[in-house]
Amino acid sequence: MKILFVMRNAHYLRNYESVLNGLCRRHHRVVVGLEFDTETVPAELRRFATKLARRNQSYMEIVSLPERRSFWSGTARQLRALRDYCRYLQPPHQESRRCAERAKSVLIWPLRFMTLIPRRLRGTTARLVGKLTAWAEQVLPASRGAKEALRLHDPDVVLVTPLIDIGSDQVDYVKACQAMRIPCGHCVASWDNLTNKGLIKALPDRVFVWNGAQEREAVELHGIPPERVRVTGAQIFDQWFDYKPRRSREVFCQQLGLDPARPILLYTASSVFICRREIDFVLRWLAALRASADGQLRDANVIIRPHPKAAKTIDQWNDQRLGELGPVVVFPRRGHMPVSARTRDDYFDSLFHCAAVVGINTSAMLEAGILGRRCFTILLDGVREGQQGMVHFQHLTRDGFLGVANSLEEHLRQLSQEIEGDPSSTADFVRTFLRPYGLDQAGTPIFIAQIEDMEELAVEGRTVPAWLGWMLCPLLLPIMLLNALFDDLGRRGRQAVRLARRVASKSHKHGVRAVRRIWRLMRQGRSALGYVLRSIGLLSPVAQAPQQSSLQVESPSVDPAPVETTSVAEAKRRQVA
Amino acid sequence: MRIYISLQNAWYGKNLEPVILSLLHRGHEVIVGLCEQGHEQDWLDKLESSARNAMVTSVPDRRDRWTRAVEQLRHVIDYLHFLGPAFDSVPYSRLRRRGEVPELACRLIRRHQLRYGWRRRAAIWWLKWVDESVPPDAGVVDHFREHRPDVLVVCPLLGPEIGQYEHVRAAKYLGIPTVYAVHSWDNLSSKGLVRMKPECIAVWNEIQKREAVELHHQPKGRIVATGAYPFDAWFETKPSLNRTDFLKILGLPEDRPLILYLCSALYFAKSQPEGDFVRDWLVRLRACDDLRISEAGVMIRPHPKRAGEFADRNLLGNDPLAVVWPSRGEMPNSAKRHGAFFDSLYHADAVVGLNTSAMIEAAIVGRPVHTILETRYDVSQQSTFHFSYLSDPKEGFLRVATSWEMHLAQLRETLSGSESATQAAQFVDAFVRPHCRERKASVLMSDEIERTARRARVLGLSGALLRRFTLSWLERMQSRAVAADAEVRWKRCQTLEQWQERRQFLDSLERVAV
Repeated sequence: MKILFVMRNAHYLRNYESVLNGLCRRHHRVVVGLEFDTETVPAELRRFATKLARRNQSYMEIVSLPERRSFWSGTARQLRALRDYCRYLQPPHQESRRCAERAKSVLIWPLRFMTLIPRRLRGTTARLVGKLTAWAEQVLPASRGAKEALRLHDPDVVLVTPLIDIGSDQVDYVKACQAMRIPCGHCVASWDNLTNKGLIKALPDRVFVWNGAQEREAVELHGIPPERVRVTGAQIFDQWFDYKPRRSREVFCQQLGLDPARPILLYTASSVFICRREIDFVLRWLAALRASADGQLRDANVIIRPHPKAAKTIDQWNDQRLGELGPVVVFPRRGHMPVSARTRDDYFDSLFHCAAVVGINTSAMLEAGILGRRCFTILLDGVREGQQGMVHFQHLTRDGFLGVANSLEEHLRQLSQEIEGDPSSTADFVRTFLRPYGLDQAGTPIFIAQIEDMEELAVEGRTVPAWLGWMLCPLLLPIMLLNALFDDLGRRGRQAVRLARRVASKSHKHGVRAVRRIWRLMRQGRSALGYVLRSIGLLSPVAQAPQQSSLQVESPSVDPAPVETTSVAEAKRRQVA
Repeated sequence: MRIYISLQNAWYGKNLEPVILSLLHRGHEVIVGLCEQGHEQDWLDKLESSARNAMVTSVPDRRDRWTRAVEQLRHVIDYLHFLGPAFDSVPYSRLRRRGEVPELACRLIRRHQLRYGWRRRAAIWWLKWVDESVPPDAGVVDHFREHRPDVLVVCPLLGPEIGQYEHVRAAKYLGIPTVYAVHSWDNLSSKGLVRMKPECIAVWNEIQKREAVELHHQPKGRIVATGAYPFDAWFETKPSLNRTDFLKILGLPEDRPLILYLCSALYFAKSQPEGDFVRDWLVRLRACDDLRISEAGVMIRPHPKRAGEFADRNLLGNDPLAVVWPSRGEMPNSAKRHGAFFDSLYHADAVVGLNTSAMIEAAIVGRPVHTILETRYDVSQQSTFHFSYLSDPKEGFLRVATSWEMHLAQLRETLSGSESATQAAQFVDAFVRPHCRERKASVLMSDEIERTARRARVLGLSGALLRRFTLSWLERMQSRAVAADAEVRWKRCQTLEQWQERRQFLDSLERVAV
């Protein structure tokens, strides 16, 4: 069987590593099509992708999918984003303001009209607009680029992930599959995908979810017919169930410079979307921890694990104040993804040797649960939006898996109990959420079996025939024009302005220099005009400005004498040059 | 009249035996042409030696440059046939054909979306046209010229081999009318597509007639429901032994009820032995609180094709009230064997099985037949069309249980004698003898063969038009198919065993409720 696995970028290879290996082991041919090139991802992921492809050499290849820009692509993106935006203005998502903002940011400003509608009418209007955009999606033709990609690779089955990005173009692949009658599956990449991102806008033949909760979300929130949803378990975490620590506690603590006799608390940082500047929260938490009445907590080792995808905010963890709050280590310093043997060991050992895990709202808590570690969080004002404002946060609080505190005092009490008392079991949560078919039943074989089962699937095809779509498409022309005006032209306009500014600034710089130079020459009488002006007395000769002073200002130093000498020498050299 | 009966092998001819005897009895010359020798040919040899006007011969195979192309064409046509929406609920047939389809065809089907709708129908139509344009094999034509039959009867026609289509092709070329005798009750729904439009299609009943029209697009006027001639003997047979003697032979007590278990051929026979199921069934029977069931005599009749499964004497756990008989399984192809089988059915108080044609025989004898739906045998039960004919609550006669408790309750009801045999009788009237219970189907079939032989007009093969073009297309495709097969480095489809294994795995998954 030939499988085309469409992924947005190489980050998703990590989520499906076990599935890809399994499919290749079962002699299927897998083509992983990345929409964005591997060059844009961190080097470690590039290495991981190369290694994965090399390991499954005869059966797997990673290719870049061609860019799809068509007449309707901009319009389609805006309509999809509008639909996603409308989603967050209706129950049960109306509290997810951050998600709404994210969706809104993708829209051109004329389509942001929903904010102008009175709050009490917003839900109804959003529902209506959502339905209209859903209808428009049906009408829009399948992208020719996506069809060509499918023709080129000629797969038996197509899998798409993540599909639910705001205004995602991957919908084109699902629609192309419908048009070409190729079985298409949507692989839900993570536990939060169905609640804090976009809608599933075209109906895949199969939707692979982790558990019953996601199954409900797919049916109730995305309108997927239940017979198309397949529960597989969380295949991404299969590796952790059998993983063994590579280092003893003593060696691990020694390497990190921690005291092995003290308990370890692991702080797992969240993604930028959940909390942009997490260091403030961590400092507050650490201060409370160090001021705790419980001696064990006060002296506990703290490991802070930065979020692997938060490269932009990684520098926040270099804060000097962390070092003043007892034994605190940021490990790994640059927040690695667990994709190589070393980084996996680091991650696993951190989880394995810790007594409890603390964080705001992150997937690392699920991995901690697999190892039987309880997780704790605090609902504080600065971070509450990333917790209670996210529907998926409720998954963590089920079965008492995540200890939620409303204040730091309550949180410290919970931590004390966890460290001193009997640690509570996380097995129920893991069984329900990650391995719904039992703790011994891994998700990967189920996932693979379900993919294989798609081979002989009878594909329904598009509900709206292509000819009808083409006839109705002109109705969408106003949106296309708006998009062209405000998005394409806007973008190009912005580019032009930027370019003009750059040119202007350069010309300005050169112009000012030129004028200054002429002025100087004139005053020195080295130009004809200067000579004339000077001779008629309009211009008095001025002594040449001492260059040292300016240089002295430029490079202040504690020891002025040698600097002055150096500066003068330097200035002379420059002048000569 | 000279009638040529083309059989794949002698085993298939057994169903046609009453028809052959009837034709011989009417004084016709009957030539039986076999594509394969062996396969229980004794009865044919005996027939040849005893009847003056009977002859057994073998037909040459097609051996020319079109042989491979014709074979692949047939696979592709059958695959496209099973891709039809009617077969969505029968994935097994589809997958089985998929493994035989050349890589090139798979690619073209995907690329041009030939799996669905009018494109699929158009592709079938075109391929049938191409198939009909292929010239007949000279050897086969010479063979028929030599024998000069008035009519050709083919059975089973549908199946993995291509030989019999070559007979139809040659017959059409020579202007000999053809009768397609449907071999069994599942043939039209699970074996492939009937092509080349025989002059007459002799089906068993109205259900098969509907299948021939709807699934095979054969003209209604050429389809005749003659009844199920293989079962003619069952309407006349009388028990050879009384109950006491019969049970004495089996070694079972005569004062207890007798339950007969009929083993089935089943798909995936190797990966799904029926012995395990029978053992389970027996254990549950013995654990039943009703003494009539727990202490009933049990007779297990192995399927002739899978007799080896019951060679192990310990399989049934040394149950003194259970016997496997005949221990090696046997085809009822002689009077003695037929009598023994009839006695088994006749003296049984209840019959149990998964899905086998012996259930129809039990219905003719008037015995209540039970079955239990098992997930592991889903592919042989609910995922087939023909099972639904027996299990249909209105028209069928099977007492279907979805759980063991239900099965035991139904058995209890049957053994208490509260069940009437009306439904079984109605089924036999509709399915086995649709015209009249007293009229032999073999006689009707013989009449139909005679009528077809007298029919002057033989439909030609439409592919003769544009032959040059279609054959050059076929040749080009054949060379491309060879190239495509050579370049493919991975397996396009899974083996049936893998498929079955996967289905079992997925079916066995049960979500843990926490």
